[in-house]
Amino acid sequence: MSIEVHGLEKRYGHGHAAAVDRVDLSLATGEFAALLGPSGCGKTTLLRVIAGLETPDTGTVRIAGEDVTDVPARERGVGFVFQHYALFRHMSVAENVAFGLRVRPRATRPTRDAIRERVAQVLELVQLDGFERRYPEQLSGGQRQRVALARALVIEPRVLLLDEPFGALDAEVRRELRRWLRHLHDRLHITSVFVTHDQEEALDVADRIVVLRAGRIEQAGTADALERAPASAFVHRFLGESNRLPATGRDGRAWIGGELALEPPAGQRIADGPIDVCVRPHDFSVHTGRAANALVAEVRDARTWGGRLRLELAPAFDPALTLELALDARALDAAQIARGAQLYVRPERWFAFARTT
Amino acid sequence: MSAVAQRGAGRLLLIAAALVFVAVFLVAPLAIVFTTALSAGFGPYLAAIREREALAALQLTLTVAAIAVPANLVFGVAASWAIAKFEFPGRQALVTFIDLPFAVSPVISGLVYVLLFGAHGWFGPWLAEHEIRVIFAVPGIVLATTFVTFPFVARELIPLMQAQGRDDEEAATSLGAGGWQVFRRVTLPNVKWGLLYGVILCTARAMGEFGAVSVVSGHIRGKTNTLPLHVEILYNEYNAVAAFAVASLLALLALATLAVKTWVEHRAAADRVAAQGARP
Amino acid sequence: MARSEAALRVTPAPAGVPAPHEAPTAADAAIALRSRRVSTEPHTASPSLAASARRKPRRVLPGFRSTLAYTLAYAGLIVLLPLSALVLKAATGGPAVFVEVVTSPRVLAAFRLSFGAAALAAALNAAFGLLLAWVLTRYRFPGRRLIDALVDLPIALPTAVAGIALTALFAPKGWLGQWLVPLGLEVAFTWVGIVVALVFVGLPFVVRTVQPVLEGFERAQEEAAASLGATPWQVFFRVTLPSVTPALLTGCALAFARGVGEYGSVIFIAGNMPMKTEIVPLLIVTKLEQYDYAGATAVAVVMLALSFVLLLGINVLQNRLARRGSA
Repeated sequence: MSIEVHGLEKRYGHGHAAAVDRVDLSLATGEFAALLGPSGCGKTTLLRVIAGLETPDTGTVRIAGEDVTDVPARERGVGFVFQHYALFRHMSVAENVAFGLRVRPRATRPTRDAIRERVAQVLELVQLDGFERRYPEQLSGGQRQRVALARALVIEPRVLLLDEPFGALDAEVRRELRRWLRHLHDRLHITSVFVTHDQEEALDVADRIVVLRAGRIEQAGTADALERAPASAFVHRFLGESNRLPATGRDGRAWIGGELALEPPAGQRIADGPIDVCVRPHDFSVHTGRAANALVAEVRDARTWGGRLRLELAPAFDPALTLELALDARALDAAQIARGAQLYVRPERWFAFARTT
Repeated sequence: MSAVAQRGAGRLLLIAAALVFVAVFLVAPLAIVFTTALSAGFGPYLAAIREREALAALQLTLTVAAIAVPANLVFGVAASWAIAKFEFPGRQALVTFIDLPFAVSPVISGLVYVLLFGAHGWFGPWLAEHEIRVIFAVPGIVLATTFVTFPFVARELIPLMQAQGRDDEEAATSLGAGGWQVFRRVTLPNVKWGLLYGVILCTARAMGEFGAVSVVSGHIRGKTNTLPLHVEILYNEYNAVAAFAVASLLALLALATLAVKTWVEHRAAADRVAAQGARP
Repeated sequence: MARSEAALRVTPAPAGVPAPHEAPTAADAAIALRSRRVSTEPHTASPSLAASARRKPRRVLPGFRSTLAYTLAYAGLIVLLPLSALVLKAATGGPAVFVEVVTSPRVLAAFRLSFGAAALAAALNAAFGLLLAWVLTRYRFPGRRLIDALVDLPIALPTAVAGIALTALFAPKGWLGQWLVPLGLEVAFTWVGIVVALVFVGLPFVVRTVQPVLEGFERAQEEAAASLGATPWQVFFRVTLPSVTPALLTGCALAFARGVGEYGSVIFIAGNMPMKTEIVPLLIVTKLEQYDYAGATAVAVVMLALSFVLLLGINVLQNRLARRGSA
């Protein structure tokens, strides 16, 4: 079931900035999309508007082509999974999951046996079969989240919406669960949208990533597309570690520190004027002797962890800046990375964006 | 919020029902006290209040409160310190015990003192010998009032001090502060609103207590009548205006109590918000 | 015994050196562990024993002894002594008198009335109190703060004042009585008046117990229920109300306990006719005035016992409430 959002705007109180600022979004049936952005960018508000838990000031929401803007949440057929699970504490796992079926009007309500069977099926799907009689307070965070998911899935929703579903769990559990969610999605093919501020999560799991900032969509696309062609310095920064080098565009090249003129990578056009050259830590090459197109920099700090050598360098053209590089752990020897040693670093892969601030 | 709560008509209906209930059960009784008191005009109202026996009752009420409240205040502080900051066997039993006067009917609270100090009581003969009058005299009233208001301060402070834990006090002790200093400089500022609230409730109840005092007082006009008892006497004499006039004093006291309570809660909440902001 | 004493009286020696006259055995270790006196000096029979001997917990914060002593003394004097006088007096009267008094028709009628009216009032307060707590928590409307403050009026207002005010309201010529009496609803001087007075008295207990629970209730649960297809009524009855029920019960129990023993608010409106509208506290006072100490104490003891049971029940409920709330 596709989701279409058109011209959506939501403001909390007069005079406040818009939480969602004229957003247009289109998601195809079966897509698994991530709304990614820093706190306060409007991603949760957008999700809640799609769910019907908030009403927009202007704009429309369509689910499977049907205009649901004025339809209340309980009639939209959305499954919503909350950040803190929102399980009904006074009900058992089975009762929680069965809830959406039990509250149906008599006409569409399944029989008690049918309900029990559906509940059992979906609990097996989330690998919690045998937990029917337990209560939420007896479950771990990861288990509670799976119950919340089961509860949302049992009503066979048209779309599945998840609000920072793994936010309250520790890193290990988070990684496991998001893989598992991806597998689940591959099995069920329900259009799913989840909200997160963790780019690793989004990149790992989603088909399509929508990066939001201050209520607007900065860029939307596959992980690959966002990696290959980020639309702005913000997106580049948000999707991974990013070194920002102030530069000037002139004659179609990027002049850094007055000494280094970089030819643009294929397909990129560099406009005249102040720009930022953004380079990821692993996209530098390092040389101990003079090299073409390289910046001179002095080593400030060197650490090895995660199998990588991480260097902190101060470039000669502006010692107040810090460059962060990630290299293979054995790329340089101890003397070369001692504090104060001089290295030549060349950005191999980079993006130029007009400077906004 | 709007996804779930009643909209439109349902909401209005509920609010209206609540308002009707409040009007009948809370506002009307309060209002009728003042309207009846003033029904004959200001003159009789003031006369009733300034009447000799009424003033004597007022004085007695204030005296009793002035003794009972501080006594229970000291007790409340001591008890909550012992209970909230330490572990010892029987702690829960002690907490339940402190709640006892709450569960006891005021009449029984008075009765027990009659049994102790009345003419036929345990100490009756001894008191009679020494010409000390407790029952049907002021000391009895003080004792009964103290009994009834016994838990108020403690009940406020105990959960408050328990919730705040011992960290602050332990830090102070490790820095060399003695018992009193720890209490005065560390604990007291943290519980001041709860303490104030408890004292206010205690005072209001001490001044308004009726059942217990009625049993021990002997109803001697001008001598052993507190304000509430005086109200009863006037009412039983069908002197409605005077009865309600004196009652209006007590009602004003109640309103003042509510006002102070609201203010205290407001300040306590403000303090909480400030403290959260200051935490790193 | 001599063996254990000798083990305890071991003079301090460098750790690891066994006691001069006896080698440490398991028995010594067991005794050392059980006896707390080992804490004052290290038990030097062997280092492992010294390590495992329990130290008496020393209070870190000051003032424990003094405050506890004062607390116990004061509580004993003001509460325990008088209450024991009551119980003892009733006991000395002899069981026969006790039973006779307690089972007399007038006393039984009074108990039926007091408990029945208090129960009915508590039930009414459950409904009204829940309504009031709901409206105060969930809706904004002019005067909300004022009403919130007024809820505590029954606690702040002296019972005698409440008593005469309610009587004036519901008397045949009163503001409300004048409408109700022609309709056949006699409130003043009947048991209905008693219930009305007890509703007034118990209201704050229910509202103030339910309010914080409603306020702290996780609204996401209600949103979840809505997103799963529940109508607002279904959300209320299946999700919100069950979570509030423990608090509601506790508040009701408190209101009930208060109502059973209430005196001042009730005696003006009640009519006070024996066997019909005489509440237990009044009965006690009447017996006292007639110098029937045995009778008064007998009735009082029964009341007291029932109040204790109620109090215990309420404390259990409140503990459960506190634990559930943090789940």
